[in-house]
Amino acid sequence: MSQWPFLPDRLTELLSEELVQFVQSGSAVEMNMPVAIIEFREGQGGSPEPYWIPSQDRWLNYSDFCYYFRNSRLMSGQPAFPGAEAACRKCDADNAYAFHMLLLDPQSGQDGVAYKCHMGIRDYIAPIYVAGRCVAYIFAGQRVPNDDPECRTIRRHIQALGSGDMAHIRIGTGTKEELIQKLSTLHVESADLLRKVQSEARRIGSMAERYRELIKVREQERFLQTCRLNHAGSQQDLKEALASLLRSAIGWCQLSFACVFTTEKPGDNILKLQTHHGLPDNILCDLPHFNWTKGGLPSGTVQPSDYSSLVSLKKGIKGGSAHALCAEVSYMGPLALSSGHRAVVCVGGLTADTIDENLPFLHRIVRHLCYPYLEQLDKLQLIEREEQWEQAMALIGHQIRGSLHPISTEADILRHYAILKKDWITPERANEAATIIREEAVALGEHATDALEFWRWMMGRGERSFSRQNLGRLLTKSANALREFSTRAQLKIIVEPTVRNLPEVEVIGRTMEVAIRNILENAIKYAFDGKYIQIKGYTRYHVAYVEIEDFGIGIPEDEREKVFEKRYRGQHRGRKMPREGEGLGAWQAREILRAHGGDIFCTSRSGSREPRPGNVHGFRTIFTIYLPIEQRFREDI
Amino acid sequence: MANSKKYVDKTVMYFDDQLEKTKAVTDFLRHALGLKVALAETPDKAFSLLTANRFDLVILDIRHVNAEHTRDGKKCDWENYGYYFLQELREGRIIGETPSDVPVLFITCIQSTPTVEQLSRLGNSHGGSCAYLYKPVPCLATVEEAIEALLMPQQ
Repeated sequence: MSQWPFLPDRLTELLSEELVQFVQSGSAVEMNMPVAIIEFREGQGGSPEPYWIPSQDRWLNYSDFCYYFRNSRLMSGQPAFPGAEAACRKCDADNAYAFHMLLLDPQSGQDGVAYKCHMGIRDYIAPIYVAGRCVAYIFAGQRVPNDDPECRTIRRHIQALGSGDMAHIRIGTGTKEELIQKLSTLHVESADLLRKVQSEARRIGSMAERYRELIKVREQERFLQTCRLNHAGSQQDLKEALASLLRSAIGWCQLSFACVFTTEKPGDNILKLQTHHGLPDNILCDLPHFNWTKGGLPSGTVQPSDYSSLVSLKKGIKGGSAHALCAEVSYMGPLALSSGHRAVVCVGGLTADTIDENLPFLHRIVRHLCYPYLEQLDKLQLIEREEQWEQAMALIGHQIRGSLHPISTEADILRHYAILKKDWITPERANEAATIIREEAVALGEHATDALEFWRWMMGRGERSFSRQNLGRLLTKSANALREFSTRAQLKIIVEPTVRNLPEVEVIGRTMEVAIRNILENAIKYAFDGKYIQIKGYTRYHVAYVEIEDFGIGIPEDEREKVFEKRYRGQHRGRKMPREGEGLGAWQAREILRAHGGDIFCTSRSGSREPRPGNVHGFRTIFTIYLPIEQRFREDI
Repeated sequence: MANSKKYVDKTVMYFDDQLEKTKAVTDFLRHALGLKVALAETPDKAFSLLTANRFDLVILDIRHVNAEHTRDGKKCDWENYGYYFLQELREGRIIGETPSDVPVLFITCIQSTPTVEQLSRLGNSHGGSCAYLYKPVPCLATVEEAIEALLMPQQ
């Protein structure tokens, strides 16, 4: 009974045996009948065996159950009839066992019967239920108050029978059969008596239920005390702490599996799977996610108790394996904070009865796990954003200073030439200085503007609304901007006619221009001299695809994901570019594309069939971009 | 400002990964100050120049893109490569086995005080000397003053 779901098998799991003895005596007083409480315990062979709760003489106003034939006090310490005790015990056990077997059938609907014992005496039996489970039986019958005059007569007769003095018997022949017949008249079969016993069984059951509730609450509080999310220094540590707590909850609540979906940014409509335990492989292989609005959940704060319709919540489970997961889930608890972060906990392995009874506790577990997680996540993300902003400003400052240095020094060259009239500076050198100043100023303007715009947008401070722009024209414009440089490198940029057919797409500000230029610059950087950059485009369903291909040093397989990491630089330096970046170009492009509901990936393979002149050993690298044409087709907003 | 080719007998190695942005300074060193300037854009080039020649001055930046290993082959952070380079130079792991006391001038964008202090301590160790200029350098005379302080410290 110390473990979830706190379903007892025996009455003495909830109440001490001493207390049950007291209850037994109280029931006897209450019903004015001898009473025995019997519970079943596991016997030596593993089969259930009846156990009589011993009686306490000091509390008992009435004699033990089955008064006449085994009460040793009647005959001054000797039983009325030899073997009666054992026979009565056996009768009790047989009846208890028979009724126990009957109750195992859920269809039996039995909540008490009247029966005759082996001596033909009317008795009653009723089950005691706690949490829908039979934990004991109450046996009652043979109501014989000690001060019943008829009893006193019968008692004398029994004594006489026992002593062998038949002369005192005044009930006819005085045979045992007649005595039994007499006894049977003492109890008129009465439906009221059965109802009384059933009512007493229910009373004991509800008292035990209250004890059960107390034990449950105590154990649940103990568990929640241990279930605390410690302070985490990073998002990775936080995720691991959540995973550990989930493992603990699964064990304690005896769940078959549990998983937690959360937002990655405040306000996300798609919640990603953060951690799970016990999910079968066929579900995991196609990672599910949760769509907040499809699950019927509103914006704003949400408590687990607010929306508990499983049917509705299950509609939010998405992904290729959604059906399989929905079939397994037996409880879902959503939570949303005012910060915009959201979480949904799904568990499996609970029965409907367990859920109904423990719904408030399940809601508490969801809050206990997810509240601190989401609050810490928000704080860590805030810290990370501030750090990113600081780094971004440092980077931009570095780039600006780097560009200003040649502007400043070349301007000094011009001063030496024009004003100080230094003879070591020729007119050609002065002209070159002016050119460098102009080029650096232009590059500085573009680079700084792009960088500032990107970082402001990343920090959530920039333009967020979508506007329609022609994707084909964006690609052509970026290609033209780099054409002069690429020509100097003897590189040809080929824009295929398919690009002209690309549709208008919904994009945020100039971010897509930045993304495309970054990818093109990378392609130019790593392409071999004399080769080409090819740009193709096509549309499929509601998605636009762009392929940017170059022939050059290639990207090894183990680096194809790394190229999109911050500050990643390939093993080879590549061509020197007009603006030397910080290794952020591919990362920025991916961030931008993902913010638009799209993405980018690259493939690189040996160019065995070289479509252009030259047989230089190299690789065809293709960066493929995909982008939803209209944002309304996205699931995540 | 003198810049009267007074360093005609002096040699300098300029190690920077963006030499195209240092053209004005390089021309000034050569034509105005008379220095013989050897250029290195990569660590390998810098190592080979230092091994084969004796320089009176080394000018370098702190950040060197694509410089991820020291001469010993240990992995290092390219954003602080100049520090590792200076360390190897001072501790004698570049020029034979002998620590080098060649004066070093940093021309760099990095302005962090701990970095400057760290570099100054290292640069001034083993009998060497070190100076620091922030980009953008306001005028070429600033470069001349820094070089004068390093090459002719008594004057």
